[in-house]
Amino acid sequence: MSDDEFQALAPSLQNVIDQKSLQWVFVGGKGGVGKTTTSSSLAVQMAAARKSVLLISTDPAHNLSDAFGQKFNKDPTLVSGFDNLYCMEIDPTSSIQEMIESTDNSAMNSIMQDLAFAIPGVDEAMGFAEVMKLVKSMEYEVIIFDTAPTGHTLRFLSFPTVLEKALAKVSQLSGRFGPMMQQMSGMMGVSANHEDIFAKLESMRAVINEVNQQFQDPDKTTFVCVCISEFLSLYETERLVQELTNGNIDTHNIVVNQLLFPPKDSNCDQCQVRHKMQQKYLEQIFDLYEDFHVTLLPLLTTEVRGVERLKAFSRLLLEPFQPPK
Amino acid sequence: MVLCSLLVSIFVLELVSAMLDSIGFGAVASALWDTYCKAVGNQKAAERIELKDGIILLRRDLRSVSSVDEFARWAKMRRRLDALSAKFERVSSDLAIERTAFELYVNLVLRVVVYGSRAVINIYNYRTPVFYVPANWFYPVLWFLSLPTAPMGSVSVSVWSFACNRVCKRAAAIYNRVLKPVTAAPVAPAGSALAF
Repeated sequence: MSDDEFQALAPSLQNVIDQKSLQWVFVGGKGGVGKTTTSSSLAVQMAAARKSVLLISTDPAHNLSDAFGQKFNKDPTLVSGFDNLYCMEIDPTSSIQEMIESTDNSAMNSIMQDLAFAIPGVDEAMGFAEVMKLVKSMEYEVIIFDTAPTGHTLRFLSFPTVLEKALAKVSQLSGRFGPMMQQMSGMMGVSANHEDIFAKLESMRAVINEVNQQFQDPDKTTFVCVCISEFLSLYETERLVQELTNGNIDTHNIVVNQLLFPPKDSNCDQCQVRHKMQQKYLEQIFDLYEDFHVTLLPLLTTEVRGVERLKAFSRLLLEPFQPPK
Repeated sequence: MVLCSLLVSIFVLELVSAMLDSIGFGAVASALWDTYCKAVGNQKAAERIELKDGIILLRRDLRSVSSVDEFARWAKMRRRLDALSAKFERVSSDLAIERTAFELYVNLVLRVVVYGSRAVINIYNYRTPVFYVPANWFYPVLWFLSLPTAPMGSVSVSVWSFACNRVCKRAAAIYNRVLKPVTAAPVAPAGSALAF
């Protein structure tokens, strides 16, 4: 066996840009590690290499608007300074309002409204509904997700399977209890057309299946894990990687953010100690994730906000950072 | 001689039946499961034991590795442990299904054997009297004793097996009550609401 087999994979996200068949890129990791910065930077670099890119935030606490310094809403908006990069922040509250108002059954409206907001996971459901719409239209070459902290993301990604099972049960039940429910709803005075509802659910099920397949196809979907070089983040990242692998979602990129590169003659104790600790965990990362691309990003002295700074920072995704001598 | 052996065989049969009843057909089936596995050479059972040992070893090793200092090594061990645990769950559940099927089968067979032999003896010795009783002792109930089809003045197979059944059941119940190991009744801790 030659030495090339044991060479570490390139420490950059170039492989994501080069993979032309990719359609869905998720960027995730537990809070505060730099997901939004990373996903925005990745979107900026993708826009230079693709025809059209959409960046979606599924985090209920959106900060894409803060990152780009431009207000975004639930419709894809062109980012100023670009001609093919669009941004979208999904707002679950308004989506639910729309959905409820669109059904013509006004008696149930208020009840449904209260119920709908109380259901946990409604963010994921709404996010997923948007995704389904995009799948049907497919006007963007690549869609990048700036995800919420880990728990939500995993629920979001496993939503297709959960919904699939629920819908399968519902269609089973509809076959058996359809006529009876028709009679009962007639009695209660609620004129719901069950045939329509079940037909809609069936078509939804087909789309969900489609989306599920796309998410589990390694050529079409990938997950970029962002972390920092500390124990808890490492532990969380390992958990995330295992869950993704169990859910058949491809992941082969890790971005380690907020790394300190103090100059050798620095007399800042904090920096030196922190640097040592980070290097220790970085060794562990390289040892554990041999088949991943591990990209290292520095902690800069300025915040990465605004289009210009994002463009400068995004170059670090492709060319490894050289600390000033 | 034939009648003597009939008397004894019916009694033995009822005794065995009463013992099985008191132990429970299920318990007997469970007890037989292990020997059956070894006899047939059930691979899943052997695999399960292997996996279990492997998991215990890995868990012990995992505890000795510090997750903070050697995270990579710890994480790799953890991955192996998760894979083994998943495999163990799968094999265990498959084995449990086989075990339930086996227990049902044994249960059925035992019941058929016990009740069947009772029925067979009854039918085979339809008219054979078990033994004769002196008529003056049992005058009022003489006719009942010979039900259904034994000659008058004798005890029929049905009556005799019925009597044996009652006696053996009673004996088994007494045995269980008298000779079962006694465990102390649970004592509520002092000061709790349950202590009187």
